[in-house]
Amino acid sequence: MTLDKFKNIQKSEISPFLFTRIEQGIRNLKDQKIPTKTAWATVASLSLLLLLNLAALNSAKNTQSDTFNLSYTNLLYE
Amino acid sequence: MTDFEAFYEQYKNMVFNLCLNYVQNREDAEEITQDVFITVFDKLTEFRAEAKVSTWLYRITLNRCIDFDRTRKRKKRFAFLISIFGSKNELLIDVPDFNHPGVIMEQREEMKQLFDTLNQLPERQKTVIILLKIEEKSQAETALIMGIGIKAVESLFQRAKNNLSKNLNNSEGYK
Repeated sequence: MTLDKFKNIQKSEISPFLFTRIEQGIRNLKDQKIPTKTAWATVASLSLLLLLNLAALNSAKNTQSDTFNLSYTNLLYE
Repeated sequence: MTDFEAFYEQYKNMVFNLCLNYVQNREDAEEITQDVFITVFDKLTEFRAEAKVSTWLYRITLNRCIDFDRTRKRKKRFAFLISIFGSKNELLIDVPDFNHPGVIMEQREEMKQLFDTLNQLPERQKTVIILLKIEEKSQAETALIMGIGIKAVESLFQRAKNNLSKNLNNSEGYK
């Protein structure tokens, strides 16, 4: 039967140098990875910066017009 | 010798031969084997002890082989489109040769034709034939590796067998 022909396939040996390539691949993987602490510190810093910006925007709302006594309408003789 | 090196020594040929049977090219099989062991090193903490290491390794290897096969088919389609619409009539992407060191020279042509037909089957049918007939796994082991039931393995194998003989007859008819 056709499928029995697959039984004639012999087991092959891998190249003896492959492990060196794997070790190099693992080293590259380690170099590429960002440490968890660094990732969390970056996220926390960016979030804090965003919150500070929002707080600054909220506190600065309409304060300019109050300071300079600006009229809110454009009618001159009201 | 580190633990990982001992692990590699124990399983290297199992992974390599499975890759070889899937892609039928020595260089490609070595590339996938390398990729598998790097993934294993990275995911070793995710391994759950209730599964056998070899089953887990078989799954990772098969997934890598399937991904590789899909990329190769995509490249082939792309090369075909380029050859239709491109200005020059040259093949831009090389299709790898049949280079299976486990096949003896006298049977090379016959086995190449068999593997070509096997490669035309859907992924799961091809996988079931490789596991049952080349890797000589039991139906229960195949079911565990593929994450399906034994009944599903049986029906997949029947369909694969029928499709394989149908495709072989067709290709012989064209000769």
